[in-house]
Amino acid sequence: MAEPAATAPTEPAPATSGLQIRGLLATYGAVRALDHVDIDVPAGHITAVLGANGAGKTTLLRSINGLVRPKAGTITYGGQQISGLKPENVVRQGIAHVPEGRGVIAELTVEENLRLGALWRGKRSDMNDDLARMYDMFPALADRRKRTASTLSGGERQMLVIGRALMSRPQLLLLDEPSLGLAPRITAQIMSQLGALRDRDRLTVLLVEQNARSALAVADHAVVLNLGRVAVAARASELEGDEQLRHAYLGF
Amino acid sequence: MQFVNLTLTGISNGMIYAAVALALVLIWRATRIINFAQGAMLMFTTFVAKAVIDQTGSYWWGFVAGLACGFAFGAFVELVIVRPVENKPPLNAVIVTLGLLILIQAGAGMLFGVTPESFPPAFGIRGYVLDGQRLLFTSTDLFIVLSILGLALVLLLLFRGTTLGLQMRASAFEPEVARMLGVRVGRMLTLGWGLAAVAGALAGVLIAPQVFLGPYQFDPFLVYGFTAAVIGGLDSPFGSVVGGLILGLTLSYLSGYVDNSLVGLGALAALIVVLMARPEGLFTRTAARKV
Repeated sequence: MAEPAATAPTEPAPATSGLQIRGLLATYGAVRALDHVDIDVPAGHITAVLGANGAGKTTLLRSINGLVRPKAGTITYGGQQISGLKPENVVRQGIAHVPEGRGVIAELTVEENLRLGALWRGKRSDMNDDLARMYDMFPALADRRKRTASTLSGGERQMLVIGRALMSRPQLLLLDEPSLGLAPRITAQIMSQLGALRDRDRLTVLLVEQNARSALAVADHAVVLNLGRVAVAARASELEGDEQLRHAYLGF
Repeated sequence: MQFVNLTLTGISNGMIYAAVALALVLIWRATRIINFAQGAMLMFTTFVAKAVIDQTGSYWWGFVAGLACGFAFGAFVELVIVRPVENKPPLNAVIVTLGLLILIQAGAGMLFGVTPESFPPAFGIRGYVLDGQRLLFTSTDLFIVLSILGLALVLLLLFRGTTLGLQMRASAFEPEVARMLGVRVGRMLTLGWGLAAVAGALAGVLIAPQVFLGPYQFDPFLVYGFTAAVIGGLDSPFGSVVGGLILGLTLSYLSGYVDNSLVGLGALAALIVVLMARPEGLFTRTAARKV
């Protein structure tokens, strides 16, 4: 039986597309949050970064989007150096960040949050199409478009921050623990949406998760961070199948 | 008749307090800084307006110059003086704005002299006539009320109805998230300070005919404006207009029915009553703000 090609990626994309991280060092005082980390995020694939609290996952995302200035190392995207760019310019490279669910702007309405995601592109003509697309993808948001984001549930907030990031029509989506505090059913729903975005739009995804089981279910590649270093980098299916690695780093 | 007069005076004074409160609230909302230099800034821009009126002989050139100078002054202060202390301990900003207050007052004294001078009103100062009696409400007072309401309306439309306003609000509420979404937060803050200073400059030009123009003549208005802003909740531009009107009416009735010398105390009393009843001010939803 032939497998559908789109859902079974084989070789990593060539090195000039996607995101490459080399020798990344980020410190908070004397603590090395990231200690010379190398990670490849191939274009059109989902790469999961797993690890416990304090492994350096969030610092990794904040180094990519410019909120944390790395002490050493390079981050290149599509062959271009992006380390050192300000956050407002990183998004202009087609890299959108989904902060953990509390990253909604609670005082603004659902629709205002969504519109903000697309404003830097300056194309008013696309705005309504994109809004319609998001409401189509997340119908729960459509019912609440005029309500402030403070009235949303945890799952709806997560949908809102993902939708808001997609409003910028990114090629690379960075997600920070989308499953945090969500019911398993909602988590599964969000993971399958990510899979659909990869398959349909060839979206590249860097998915930071503590919930390894849900992340591996959708990811193509997996990186395990442990105390700021890369402990394992493998195909997601390999990691999932390797009982020893799973026990050692992922606890299941 | 006295009641009508006191009410009209209260409204026109209240709108001045509202404009100063608006200047403070816009900055507080965006940067969590109380701009203690606001009273001095509006004094300085009113001097500029006076200089332009004297040069050109036209009130309206001076009026426009005062507001334009206010915008430039506010933007300059944010970019050059306040930017280094943003996201630092709050006390740093307090000290910087207090230092700026002293600097501007001393500078204005040296440049323009310390003796208060007259400032022309926008229109006539003869009161309207009602039932054959002359009111203490002039076309200049009407202009005060309408122009400040107009400014509040323009700000409301800007914040609620434009994408620029949406970006400014996002920058005020969640600067880090706004940056990740591509909003140039630094520019939004500069713009916010500029607009706030326009509100202050407007108050200065409008009140100067009553209090005269001098380096220290506008000090009470910072206090009244701050009181109005706190009554309104410090976070709400709408609240600052309502707070200004409440304060203006309270003080006007107090001076008319009780004693003129109680006005300062009355502001304090109004502040205490509101803070006891609603410590977060009248128009703030504290629950919505995270620590």
